[in-house]
Amino acid sequence: MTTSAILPARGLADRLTALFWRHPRVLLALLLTPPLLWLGVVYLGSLAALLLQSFYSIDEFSGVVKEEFTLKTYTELLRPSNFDILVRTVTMAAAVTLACAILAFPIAYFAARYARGHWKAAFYLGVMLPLWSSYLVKVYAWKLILAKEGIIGWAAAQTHTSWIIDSILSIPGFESSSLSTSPIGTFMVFVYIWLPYMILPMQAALERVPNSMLEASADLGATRAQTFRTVVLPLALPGIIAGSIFTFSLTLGDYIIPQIIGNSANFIGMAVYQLQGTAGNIPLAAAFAVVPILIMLIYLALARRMGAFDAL
Amino acid sequence: MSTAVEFLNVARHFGPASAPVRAVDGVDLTIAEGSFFAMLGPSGSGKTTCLRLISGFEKPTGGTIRIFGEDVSNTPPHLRNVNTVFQDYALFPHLNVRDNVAYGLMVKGMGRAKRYAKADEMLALVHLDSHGDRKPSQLSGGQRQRVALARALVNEPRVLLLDEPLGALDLKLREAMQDELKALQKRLGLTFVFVTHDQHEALSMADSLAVFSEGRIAQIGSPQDIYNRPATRFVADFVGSSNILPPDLTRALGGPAEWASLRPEATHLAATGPVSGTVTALRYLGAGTRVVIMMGETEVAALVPAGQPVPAEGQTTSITFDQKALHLMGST
Repeated sequence: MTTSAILPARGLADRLTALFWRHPRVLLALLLTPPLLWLGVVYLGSLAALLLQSFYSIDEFSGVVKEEFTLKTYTELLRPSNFDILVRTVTMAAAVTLACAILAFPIAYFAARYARGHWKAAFYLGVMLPLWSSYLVKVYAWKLILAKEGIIGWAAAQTHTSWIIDSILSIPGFESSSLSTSPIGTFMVFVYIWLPYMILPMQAALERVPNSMLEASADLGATRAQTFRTVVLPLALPGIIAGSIFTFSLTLGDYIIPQIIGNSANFIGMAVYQLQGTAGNIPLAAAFAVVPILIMLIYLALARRMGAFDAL
Repeated sequence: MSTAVEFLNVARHFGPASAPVRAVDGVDLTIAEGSFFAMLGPSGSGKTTCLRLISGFEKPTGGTIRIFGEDVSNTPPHLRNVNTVFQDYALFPHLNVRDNVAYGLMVKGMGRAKRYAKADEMLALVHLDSHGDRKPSQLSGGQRQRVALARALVNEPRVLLLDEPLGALDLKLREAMQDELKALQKRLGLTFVFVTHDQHEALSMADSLAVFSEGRIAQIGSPQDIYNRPATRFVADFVGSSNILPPDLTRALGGPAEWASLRPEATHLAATGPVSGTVTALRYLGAGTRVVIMMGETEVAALVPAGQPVPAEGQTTSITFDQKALHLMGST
């Protein structure tokens, strides 16, 4: 045997592999530099610019942005007309998140615990399929569905259950001539559009709860309800929180659904859209945009304190 | 002594009725109260399914299961007074050790102070008194095993089920836990039903054991019975490392024309004998050397104790044994 212990390098790829083997950090640096540049400069940079803008103010006569630090813009947020927008948006986001969580849980639970093979494929397809069509198309489709002459109204008339819709539409605060012009309609479309973002993380979290954990709970004498409360829910909580971050923040920032469906009451996203566009009030638009960020930070801090991430 | 668990012609089939997978098929079984009962068998033999039938995680498709005389066919797991130590321990990761142990008492509505006192008592029994505030992830494998044991025992079950509880432990810890489990069982006087695929574990710990094969019980009896008088070739082969002699070889070696099992430790080397063969493999075991001799088409192993001469590979040798050591298993 005369073969040498070290084989000759065959080309650039060999030499690069050898370099990465001798200096593992070089590869890591090469891989991480582009995304970190993107994250650092483009993403965090623009976020900082946004924050900066929110501390400027606008000269009410000339409409020119004054580049001096002031909290004046934030105090404007507290004016009743603006504060109403904040309360309305946060209430809607909370209601949408809660409804999504309640609707998503059984679906996610079925997919994680029972669905196998074809059923699992059907689940993924069913959840993802709505995401493949245009958001605008779906929203306008819902406008037709919810309209007075739409399929829901027609079905209710045929089954003599129109009184249900009528009584919902006569609840103080939700009064309207049809679902498509009522806040109830806005809520329904929000829930429909964001539901997949709640199901998927929930399903992933539930899938990580081993079956033996549920069996152990039953073995120790727990009823199904007790197992759900003391084992399933705490272990699935990180997934529920992840899903609620999606539904909550997406609702907080959306400006299209409340424009097309509902009574045209202003939401944060719509306010930002109008303020930076027609009104040219960039500082106030920025201040509005900071609100969802703050709310999410508070929400995460609370969730963390409640131990939502202990099982991670 | 009364009967703790009784299986009457129990079956558990999976899949369609036309082509069922018979995980458990026609099992009759009686486990005496206060005994340490082992279910031994290769994977897929039905032993774990039998354990799950007792705990209630599987429903029998035929037959009757009684626990202390009561038919449990329609009793869900949470109403059965039996507890399980799971193979992967299944400790709740979000609860600390004390809350894990107290879980069974908590769901039954016992107050916090009382259940913590009982949990601490049980943790002391498994020598983990100082670990109550830790999370399961902060414990070693052996410690988790003890927590799982304490969590089951705190409920004072009538029967304790253990599903390969020592499988994940290293050899040294495993042997220590075997002794400890056995001692604990004696002290508490509880009925333990223990599933394992390790014949040494089953033989050394159990008062009585059932050997499973393909969903049926191949043999049931004391460890001595099973080891010395295996009922079938499967049992002889699976329990320990017995030689299985086909009828013609048994006759050539001086026995009747029947299948027979012969323990390597009962087999001695001899320069001459009725049948001789070539040494094909040597395995040094510390306390002795296992010598494999090819006799016709059958491999026969002999155990040569340390200090005695060992033949070289390729050498020709014969064997001798006490005829009483030959265990006959019929001619088919």
